Amino acid sequence: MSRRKASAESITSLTLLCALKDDSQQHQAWIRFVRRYGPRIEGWCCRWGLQDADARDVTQNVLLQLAKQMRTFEYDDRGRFRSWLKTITWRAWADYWGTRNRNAALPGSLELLEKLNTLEAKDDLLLHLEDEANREILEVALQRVRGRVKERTFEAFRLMAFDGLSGAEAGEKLGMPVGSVFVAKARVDKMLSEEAALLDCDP
Amino acid sequence: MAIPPEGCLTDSGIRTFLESPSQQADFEDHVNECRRCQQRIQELSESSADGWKKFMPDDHSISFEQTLADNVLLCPPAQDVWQQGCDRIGRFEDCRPIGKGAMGVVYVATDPKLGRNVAIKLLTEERVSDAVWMERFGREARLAGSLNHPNVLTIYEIGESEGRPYIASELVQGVTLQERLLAFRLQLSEVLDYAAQLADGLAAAHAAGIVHRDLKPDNVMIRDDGLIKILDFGLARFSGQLNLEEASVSRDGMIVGTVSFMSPEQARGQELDVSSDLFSFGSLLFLMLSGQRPFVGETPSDVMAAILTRAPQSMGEFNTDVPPWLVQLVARCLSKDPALRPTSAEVVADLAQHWPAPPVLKTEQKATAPEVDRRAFDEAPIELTDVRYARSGDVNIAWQTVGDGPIDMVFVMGWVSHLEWFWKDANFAAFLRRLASFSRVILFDKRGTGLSDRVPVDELPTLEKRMDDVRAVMAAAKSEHAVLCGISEGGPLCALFAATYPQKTIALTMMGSYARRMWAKDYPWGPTEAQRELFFEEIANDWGGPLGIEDRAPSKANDPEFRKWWASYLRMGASPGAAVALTRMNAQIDVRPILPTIQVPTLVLHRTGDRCLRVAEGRHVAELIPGAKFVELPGDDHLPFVGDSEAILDHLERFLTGMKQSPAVDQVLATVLYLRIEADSAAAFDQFQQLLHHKCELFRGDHLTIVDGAAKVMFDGPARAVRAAHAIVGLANRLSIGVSCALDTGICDVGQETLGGTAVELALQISQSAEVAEVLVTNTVRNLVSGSGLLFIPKFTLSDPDIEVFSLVESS
Repeated sequence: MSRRKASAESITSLTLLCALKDDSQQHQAWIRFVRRYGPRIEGWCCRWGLQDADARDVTQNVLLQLAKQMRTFEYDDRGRFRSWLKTITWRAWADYWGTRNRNAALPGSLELLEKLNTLEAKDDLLLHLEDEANREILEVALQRVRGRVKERTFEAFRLMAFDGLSGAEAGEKLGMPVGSVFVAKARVDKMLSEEAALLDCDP
Repeated sequence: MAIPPEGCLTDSGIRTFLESPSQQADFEDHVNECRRCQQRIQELSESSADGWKKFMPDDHSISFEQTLADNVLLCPPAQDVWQQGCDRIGRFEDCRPIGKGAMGVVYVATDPKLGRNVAIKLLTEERVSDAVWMERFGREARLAGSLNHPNVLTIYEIGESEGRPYIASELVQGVTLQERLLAFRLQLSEVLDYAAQLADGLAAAHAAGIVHRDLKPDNVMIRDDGLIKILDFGLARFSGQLNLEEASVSRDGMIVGTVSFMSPEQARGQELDVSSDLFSFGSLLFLMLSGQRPFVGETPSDVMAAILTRAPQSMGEFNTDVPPWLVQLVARCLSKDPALRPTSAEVVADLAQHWPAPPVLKTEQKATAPEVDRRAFDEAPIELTDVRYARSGDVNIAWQTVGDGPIDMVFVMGWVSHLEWFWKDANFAAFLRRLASFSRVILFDKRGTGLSDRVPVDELPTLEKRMDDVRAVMAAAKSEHAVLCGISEGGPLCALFAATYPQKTIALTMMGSYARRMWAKDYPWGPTEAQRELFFEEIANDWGGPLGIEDRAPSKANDPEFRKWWASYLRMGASPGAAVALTRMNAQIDVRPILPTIQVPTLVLHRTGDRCLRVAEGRHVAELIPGAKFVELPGDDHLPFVGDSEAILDHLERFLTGMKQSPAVDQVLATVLYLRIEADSAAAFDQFQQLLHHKCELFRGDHLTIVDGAAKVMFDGPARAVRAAHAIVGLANRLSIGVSCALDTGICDVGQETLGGTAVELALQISQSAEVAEVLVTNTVRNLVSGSGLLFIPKFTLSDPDIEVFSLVESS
């Protein structure tokens, strides 16, 4: 119970989140947040046909709204990170269209902007952010597992799973018997899967 | 399959081993030697569907860095303590935490007495027992709160809750300047706008002798509509956050952030006066322009050393677009010697001189002292003409103009009205005077109400008739184009007018308005039929008293004077029978389909707590009108001249004075009639063609074109178009010519040689399904002609686009 609660809490804090609620880390968190979610939102804008300047304008506004939502919308630690992200995205979305000064937009792109204001586009945005949510979950899971195994064990896993080395190559590089490399990889695979599932609280 | 050699395992054996390797330690040794098993494990490992793999992002890029998230993980946040909501703080209820600052936790809460949301800062200091401290703190906070300037956060009250002091203030929807700056660089125009507002707020405070002491990006909020609010005026000294000893031991960026905006005298711990704020203002300006702080250093002490001894960084390194006068202004603010810095009032003047301040400042400033202002408007010599009458058809419409501003504004009051009674309420009169200070306001009473001709209850005007009335009044007032300003039920009419006559409409503004009056699945905000019936009954029974005052003007519902005025205003506006009939007709309004065709600049204003029409209705209207600006304002009153009317007027004036030109008009909203004509002989066709011209003229049709056995013509009123179709069918019958008709209301291209646009295409498509002598209309047309006595039956539904088609059965 306490474990589950702890994971939920830390995952809340994951994105900027922590930090919009804690001044001292705000700056770092913001930068990280903008770096991560900015390109996602911009990519989404471009996919929906917006030109550079408009895409930047929309991205900027959606980010701000998202941040605002994250700050004001309390995360319910019984819920899942994903549905939380989904909720705030929807709200940011609604807010964006609610408060945007649409007169400020370039007249030529109004039509395109309107295209973004469709259900289809909204779902697509969620999909774009979902991928980012996956990354967050996986990274935290990796950090946690890393803290619980020997550095060499984790490294064996990393070399095989992320750098594409074979067991024999990884073993050579780390000076480990190849059998141990496989064992290490298998252990981390298992722990990581459990950890990620726990963070996701996916039923 | 070959039997595995000695010590090798089958695939399932390998899987079991990988599941729990410790139980088969000898196999691990075997693998070290056996290439075959290595190969197999490798293959199995690569193809296994490990649960974590589904979290792999599309680009496979994963960071192994120690993340921020992990830091938080390692030191479990102490945030639980404050993240919990609490039932009440002082007399405020339903408190939910929204943030944490140096001084304490900030909550959003409800004020049960006024029913509004407020922000509450619950201070961490447990100093309530220190009476002297509390008294000083309360005095300071109240002093700052009493500023009543649009750019300074309004403080409602100071109190204490369970031994901790709190400050209740207005709730600002927006982001801090800090957050804004971290997202993206500001445009120069934005910087100047914010700087002018900041300087304005500071100047007001300084004039009152209040020093902020801690001006920094965290203490500046940008409301969603761009209005700047300075927070925590004069409170810094109570938070202990400027304690230098504390600052120097602190390691994180936040304290550096705070010291970055200190003035030299502040860094030395000296007494501060207003010029210290000017230094901080200069630092903020520098930051907004360049994205950098003027003084930087590794540690807070280094930053302070730089503030005390070094010249600021060169702004040109970061932003070469800053005009020289602005560079100079920043440099003056950042003078080490307080005596060399400009005063805040000088900064305001300087900004205004080089960069004409946006109307936001000019108008919002007026709100500084509403008492004085209102008197100023009351006394202003504004010309009020006598009431006159304009002929619209055979009905006289009473009208009047006020003021002689550069643009005309047709003011369309909702429900019932009475020109001369407008002026008998001080608030209403001040509201109109303020409108008249920047426009020539054209007022009128709709037919059947006020001073206009009373008409039989069953001849009360449809939206279309009322458009004719507006045109008649505009013609009488010699107004070629005007801003259409609709209040409440006046809104839908203005919207329809703006869509139909874009060449006559400069802009559209709707206040506390709606698009449809009845509940529907896709319009959940309207009252149900049963609720409406109750209201009709109420009108029938209670007309004569201050009907509906609780919903329309809750803040004045207990004011006996106002109750008396409102009751008499309604009585003068309409008879009980007419009031019921009008309200019944209003219930039929649904202008949603035409809203997307509006092409003029549009401003939709709605108060958050409007008890008569929900704020969501206003938002919905703005969403449907392309490019419309929506502004939500605090307050519960429906009538714009009750409550904080200054805020509404500020937005309106700002919108109208800062408005862009509307695009050239070659697209208009119109009702298109598409006719298929079958004639036995060319002679019969010619005869019909001539009579058709005549008929179209009679019904004020325009752009008539006849080609290849078909005709298209547009009308500016849907009911007139349907009646024209009906008359043309009658004419064709007499001439033994077969015509089938279809009508749609929508966008028409009038820039081309022949009529084009979506409405034409749709009418053409539908006409193919029309039988001879039949008149088919889309649901858009049908909704717009409600109340006109035209009757339709459902015919079929087009699948693409999804449109219901109706057949005309009766035209009275």
